[in-house]
Amino acid sequence: MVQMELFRSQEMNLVQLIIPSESAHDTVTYLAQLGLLQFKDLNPDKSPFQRTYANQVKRCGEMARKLRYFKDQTAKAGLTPAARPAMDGDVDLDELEVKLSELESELIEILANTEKLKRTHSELTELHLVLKKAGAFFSSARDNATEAQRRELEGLSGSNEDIDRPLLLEQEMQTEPSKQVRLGYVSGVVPKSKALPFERILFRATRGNMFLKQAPIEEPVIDPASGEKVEKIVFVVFFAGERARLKVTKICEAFGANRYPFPEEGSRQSALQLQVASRLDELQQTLDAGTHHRDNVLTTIGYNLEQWTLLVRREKAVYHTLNMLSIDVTRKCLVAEGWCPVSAKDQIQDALQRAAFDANSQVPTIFQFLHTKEAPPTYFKTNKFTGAFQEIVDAYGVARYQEANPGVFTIVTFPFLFAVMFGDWGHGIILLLASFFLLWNEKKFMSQKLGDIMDMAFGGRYVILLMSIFSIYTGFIYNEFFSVPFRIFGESAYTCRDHPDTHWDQCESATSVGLIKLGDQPYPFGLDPAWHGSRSELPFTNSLKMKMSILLGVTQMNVGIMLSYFNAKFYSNSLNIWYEFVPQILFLGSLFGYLSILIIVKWCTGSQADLYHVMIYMFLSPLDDLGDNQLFWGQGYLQVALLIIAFVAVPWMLLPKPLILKKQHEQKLAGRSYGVLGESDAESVDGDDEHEEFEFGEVFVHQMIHTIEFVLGAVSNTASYLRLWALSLAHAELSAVFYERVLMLSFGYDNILIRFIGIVVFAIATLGVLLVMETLSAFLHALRLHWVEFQNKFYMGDGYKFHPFAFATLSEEDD
Amino acid sequence: MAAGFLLTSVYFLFASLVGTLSVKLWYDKGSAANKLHMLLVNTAVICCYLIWAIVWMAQWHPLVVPILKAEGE
Repeated sequence: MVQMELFRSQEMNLVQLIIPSESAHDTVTYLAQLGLLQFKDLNPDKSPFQRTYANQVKRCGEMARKLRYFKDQTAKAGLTPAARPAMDGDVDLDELEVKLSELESELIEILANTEKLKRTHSELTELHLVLKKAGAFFSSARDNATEAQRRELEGLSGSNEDIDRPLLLEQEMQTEPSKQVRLGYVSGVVPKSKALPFERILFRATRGNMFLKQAPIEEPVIDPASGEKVEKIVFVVFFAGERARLKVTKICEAFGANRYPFPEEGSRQSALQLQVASRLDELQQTLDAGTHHRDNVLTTIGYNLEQWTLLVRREKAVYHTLNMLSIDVTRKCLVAEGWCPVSAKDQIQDALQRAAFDANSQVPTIFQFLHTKEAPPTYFKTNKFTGAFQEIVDAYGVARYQEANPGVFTIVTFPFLFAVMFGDWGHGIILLLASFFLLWNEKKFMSQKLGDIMDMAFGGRYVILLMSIFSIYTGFIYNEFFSVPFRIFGESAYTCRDHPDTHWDQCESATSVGLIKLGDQPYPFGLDPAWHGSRSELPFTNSLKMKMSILLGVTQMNVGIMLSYFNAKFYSNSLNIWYEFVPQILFLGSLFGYLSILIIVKWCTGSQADLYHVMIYMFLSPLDDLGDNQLFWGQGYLQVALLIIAFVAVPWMLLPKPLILKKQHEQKLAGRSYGVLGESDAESVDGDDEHEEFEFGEVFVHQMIHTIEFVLGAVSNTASYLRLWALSLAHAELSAVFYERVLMLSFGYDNILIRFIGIVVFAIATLGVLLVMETLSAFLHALRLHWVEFQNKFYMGDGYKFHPFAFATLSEEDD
Repeated sequence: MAAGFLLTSVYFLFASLVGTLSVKLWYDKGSAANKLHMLLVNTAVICCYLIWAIVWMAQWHPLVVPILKAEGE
């Protein structure tokens, strides 16, 4: 008898490998390529630095850092690393390390040189600007001065109206040449933002005994110190005296103003300007050559960057895993322990043989199974379809080793319960198209990084596919297409009460007493279109959907309890079958199973019985006559019997199991005291767990909690399924409102613009509220129904996931 | 009496059989996987049947009838 796939997790085994140290690296690499063995850490008490291969891990970390540095520099240089598709053989790790450090030092040198050159370049640029701007001040001042002199000579002295006349220079002209020396100046550039305070401080420091001339530089220049582009101005400060020069120099330093020498004579100015211009040219060429060289180096690195990064990441992971093995005192061999699926035994042995052969090892690796009482990890072999649904289950809790997996049912029941709340085949079709879009571009999306929301939608693409298909189905059942009913499955079963042949519109009684059902059969598939828009629509659909929720809920909960039977049988735990499963199914059946039967009987007979009344008085006064509420003969007796069953089931769940456990424990203790002495040695190896304390109180309290949870849960969980009704009602009403109040209202006007606006608003409301928010809320409610109402009947969910060491699952974070 | 109900029920049964058989015939992935696929097909058919049957039965002997809204209501 073959086990159903996915129903139970893969059978696992703890294995031990004894690996000769010369083939250890190859062995671990080959196993990682296979990816079916989860290594156990055998040195949990050792810190990362005390481990055998700590040095190698460190080296790999250093190489990863260098590679990251290359990547950053490549990105900074604006290059895209073009990965060469061809792998040029195996690269040795040691060679790579040497190569990487060579490349790194080369790159660092290039960058340092470039940096230095750039600094010089921007300094020269500033000097160039100073020469230009300050030169302009001087020449214009000189021109003005000569002009004034000329006018003076022409006998027009005392022309005070000329305000622009440079007073300073005029004074200079008049003073004796010996005094000219005292008038000094400093020229340079200062950031524009600091210009105003700079001027103010200068003014205060020299007590106004200075003259500042400034000119803005049109384009921002690169600051030599920071390397950033800053808006600056050129300034020239004139002052008198050596002490003032000291002050000005200090202020310049404080404001980050770069001072540049500026020769006084015009001839030297122009000579310097020429010199600076030629040096700038030279520098630019050197810089260009440097950048070109850097780009070349980076491109060469870029060819191999991807491959190297992968190699280093893998090597690091391999050494990290090797660190988890325990090393023999003689250092001749390493011992590994780990979990692997039993089915993968042959593959692992094959990998071990290949590794031993390739490493030229004299001794093959020893592979043996170990027996342990430790719980093995849970491993489900999923594919891209079942994986998404298994994630839904795992998000609640990973299955205990080999317990029944709710995932096999979730694949269908999850989208189905979603669709019960989302029944509209128009909306379903849009959802289906969305899932087709995701599936169509599956390969493309798989390879690229997506945003958070898109990634979530893409991960659940198969869930969305099934959700939409079921939504279309339930849409036909509810007979809703954007809230509009269609007569796909024939004419309505209802006709006019007085004149069966007339159309509803001409039927007068249709709006007072209502239509009448023609014949015995109802509408063959789904809801009768006659209900839509009628005054009795809500009372009818509410009653229907409420009862439907209870029927679906009771069915699903019973499936859950059935699964607890399969679990108990699998673990051959007859206590759980007889003292948990049986009373549980009897309890739920006698209360809510009975309610379900009442609902069906009421529907089939058309009885007017009040089911609330029946259920309430079944508890309050079970012996009373049912009167009008009697649905079938013998109902009173049946109810009393069911009530007795339900009341018996509670202590049945609570008491026997802990008592029997206690008895079994006592028997075991009694038997042990007469045990054969010789056996105790063999048993002590793995018999640690058998000596565990048996605390009756603890077991009893646990059983009590379990019982109370089930009994109260039976009521509250059934009530919880009513969310199916509530959500489905909300969805139907919202889409009806959007259709009636937006689309139909706008089409009432004979105006193309209003109609167009109506369509747009309708489309946005449908998309935003119904297709995004309603989908999300129905999804969450379906999730809850599965996690809580379904899974708490049987699911332990206290296992841990199988994480095999595999290259395929290494991610960028592992660097 | 409930011929329509029984007939459609037979259709659903038929769908379940066809689904189960087609797993075996056209989507044979080994007996373990086939079991899962058959379970999926049958769970789906049962779910669909349940909701159809519920809606059908609820409309069989309705206690309320559709009362149409009058003009302008």
